[in-house]
Amino acid sequence: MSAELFSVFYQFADVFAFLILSAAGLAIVFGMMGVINMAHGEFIMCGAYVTVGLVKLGVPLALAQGLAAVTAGLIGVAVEYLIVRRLYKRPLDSLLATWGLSLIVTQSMLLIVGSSITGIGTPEGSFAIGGYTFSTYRLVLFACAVAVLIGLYITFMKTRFGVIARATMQNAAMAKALGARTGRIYAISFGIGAGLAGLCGALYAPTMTLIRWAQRLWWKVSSPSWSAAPMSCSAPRRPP
Amino acid sequence: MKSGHLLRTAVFGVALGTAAFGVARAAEPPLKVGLLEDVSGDLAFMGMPKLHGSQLAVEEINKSGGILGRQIELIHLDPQGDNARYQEFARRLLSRDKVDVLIGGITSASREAVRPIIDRTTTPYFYTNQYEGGVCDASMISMGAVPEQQFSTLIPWMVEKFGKKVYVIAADYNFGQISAEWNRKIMKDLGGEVVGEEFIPLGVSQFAQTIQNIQKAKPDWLLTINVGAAQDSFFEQAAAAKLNLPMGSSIKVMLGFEHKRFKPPALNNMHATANWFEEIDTPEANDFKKRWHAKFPDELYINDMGYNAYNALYMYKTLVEKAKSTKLEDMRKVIATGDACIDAPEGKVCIDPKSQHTSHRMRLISVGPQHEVTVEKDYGTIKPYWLGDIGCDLTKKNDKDQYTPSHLPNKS
Repeated sequence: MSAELFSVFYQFADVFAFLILSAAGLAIVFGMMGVINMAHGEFIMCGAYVTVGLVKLGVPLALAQGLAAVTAGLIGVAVEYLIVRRLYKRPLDSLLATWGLSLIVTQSMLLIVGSSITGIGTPEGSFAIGGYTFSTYRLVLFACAVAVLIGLYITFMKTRFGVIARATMQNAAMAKALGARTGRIYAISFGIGAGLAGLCGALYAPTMTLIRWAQRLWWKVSSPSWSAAPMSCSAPRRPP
Repeated sequence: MKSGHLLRTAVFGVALGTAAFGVARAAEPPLKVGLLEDVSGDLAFMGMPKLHGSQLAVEEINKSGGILGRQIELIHLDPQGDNARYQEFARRLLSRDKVDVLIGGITSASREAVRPIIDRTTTPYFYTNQYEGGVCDASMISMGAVPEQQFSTLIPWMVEKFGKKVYVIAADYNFGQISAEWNRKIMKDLGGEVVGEEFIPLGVSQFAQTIQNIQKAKPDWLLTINVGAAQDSFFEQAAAAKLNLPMGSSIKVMLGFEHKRFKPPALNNMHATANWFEEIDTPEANDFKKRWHAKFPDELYINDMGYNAYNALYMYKTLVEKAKSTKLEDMRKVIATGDACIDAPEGKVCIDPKSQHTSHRMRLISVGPQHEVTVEKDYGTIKPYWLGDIGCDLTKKNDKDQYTPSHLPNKS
């Protein structure tokens, strides 16, 4: 009985982690900033590829994952500065611009990295309860998802940066009048969103086939059909 | 003066005409080969070797003088794993480019999407994958292996070696559904039991629930006919959860080269029956591999689809040269003689006149803990007999249908 209960919890934790980690960045960029970032999946992909690349160079996995998230975050700041910043007042154009970015990045990666790449393997560790065996790494992912939620809450609700960020999102002109550097706030917020996407890619890189799957993730999260396939968090764009 | 000018013009005109005629004789228009293969999207890792195999064959054939003295022009379009694009591009190749032959398609869904379009033309179509079998269509020539070559060998072997209880993980489209039907039929004949079947939408990448369903059902072995890069994540996740069950498949290793894409031991204890895998060690196979890797040094693995795509062009060359024509009906007369054979890297393969499917030398392979591949059993050449047995005879009647164990031709 306890094995069954744990099995249910484990599956809940698994889906919870996948949804939270893949959508946390989106929650900031879309939920707070109102920018529909069609290139969200590409930041996930960036995190995954940087992680795999670093691990293959001999960097320990955890460090590689941290560096991957930071890399994605920095690229996010650059994207905000170069593209998104110019389009805050034109939400549909920002959608188009980030979609174009997504296409360029995806196809470039296909040309540069090729269509398949050897995986790095999930970290060892499993445990058994009753007749079931479980991968320990999946619980690490759950812990990371919870940590991300707590971290976001503290950052945006309990810090000075969070107060200014929320003020900027609510009324940028007023915040600016009161001395907030709104441009920088936008860049940092977008960077945090991108960094969280990169973290998702970094954390899931060892557990999945590495392809440019990430943009599909965005389709899954965004399309209503994911609720029909909750395990996947992703439905193909068209039924094959 | 005026007449002199006229005469000169006439002489010049005749000379020009002769010259143009001479040029036309020297260089006949090339044969157009239309190729539809995904080189982007979820299946790109399989489609890339198919494109490469076609390019290699075209290069070799052109170097050795072409087909009936005509060079081959390869026109490749990338449908990106999208069946609507498959249809659009098939129409484009058939009606705008007017290709002499159409080759390609990865999923069975894409094949069934373009087949009705091809059936309305007189263009021959080569499907170069292994698949779930059963297509009885005069326009289509199948180069890959089919269930009587793959499942009728693999499943009895798995049952004997590991036990009578199987759990099936299949991709949820015609390939997975019909393959699962084949498994049910063969397991029933063997007195085995299918303790679970799961059909997974393409693109799904998270398998915690599936893994626990399997552990609950306690099968002796798994039949894994999941498709695409996303679904292949199952292997990594099952290995991390220490599922440790023997696995069998008609598409893993030789087709998806999972043993090269995943870190050992994720594919440990996987078994498959194949007409081609890169580890085949014969002089012909080694020579083929050498030529391939010389042209494509970065190829991770020469998979069976790429290999079949390569053979398809040589089979086309053989058919056209024996028929002395590029017309489908003339080529089919050659097939009807039973003499449509090529010396492929796996050995001699022939097209069966009744079903227009290809005979293959089948081997059963296993993957070890370090992802080393060993040949467990050599079945010799197996003909694609099933369609002929159930009453498909393309030399007499064009059914244009796909049969399965539960959908047989009407007896008439």
